[in-house]
Amino acid sequence: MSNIRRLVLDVLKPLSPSIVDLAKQLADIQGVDGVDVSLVEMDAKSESVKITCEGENINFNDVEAIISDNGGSVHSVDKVSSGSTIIEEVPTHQDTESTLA
Amino acid sequence: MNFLYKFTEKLKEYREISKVDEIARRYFVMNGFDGSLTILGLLIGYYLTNFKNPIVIFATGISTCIAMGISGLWGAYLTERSERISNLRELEKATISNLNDTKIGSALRFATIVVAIIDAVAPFITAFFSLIPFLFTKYLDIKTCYYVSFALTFTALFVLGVFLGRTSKENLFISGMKMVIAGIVSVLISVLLIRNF
Repeated sequence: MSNIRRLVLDVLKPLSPSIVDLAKQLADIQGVDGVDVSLVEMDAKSESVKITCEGENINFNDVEAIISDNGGSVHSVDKVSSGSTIIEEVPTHQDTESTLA
Repeated sequence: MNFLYKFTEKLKEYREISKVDEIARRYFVMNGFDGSLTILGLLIGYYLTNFKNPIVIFATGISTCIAMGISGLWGAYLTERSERISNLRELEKATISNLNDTKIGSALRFATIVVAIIDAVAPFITAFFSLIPFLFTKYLDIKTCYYVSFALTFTALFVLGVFLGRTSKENLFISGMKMVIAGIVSVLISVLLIRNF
């Protein structure tokens, strides 16, 4: 089976551990080359974050385990790129029309 | 070595998640203060009644230390645990997930144990510190033991005050003296009561 090269997740997590710690731990996973964690929304006790992982061969279960261990839960898998190269999403005619509207 | 590094990193992480430092510091001073004042009260009582048996003084002192330690251990463990579990449940509601088997759950258990140990050890240490002179009754007469013990108790109170002053970045001497004054008030009330008994 082919490898995962990019993974974008929508995660709900407690405020502590911070996104700094979470990003470092995710970056330590074997097969992950880089991580981006962006804050989307913040509450009194929790926060929604968008996690983007890139690497040669990302193991989804390892990523999910780190997130769970830090008290987070994956709400949705927003994007997955796999194969020998990363293919960016191509805008189609419909996308352009909706943008114009 | 690698295991030790991982272990200390884990403890550091738990400390940060549970924010245990602040509460542990507070418990340490509060219970250390309790330990010093309790033993001061005991010693003042013995001194004013002209009690001269060092074995009895040390034995009652040490059993008081143990009782305070056990009280601290049980009390802090149960109260801290219930408080933290209630916070965890609220956090679970907010994140809509079970956090028991996560780092947050482990940090909770870690913090509860640390706080309970500090709550037990602090009064034991400060109280035992005041009893040390009574271990040397072979070399010191009983009156000297009492005086050295009082001096040690006031020193412990002063050091606890300085520790608080360092935390709040206030004048260390004034902060230390505030604690010493509590000891003096305790002694004065005891003297007035016992002398008029």
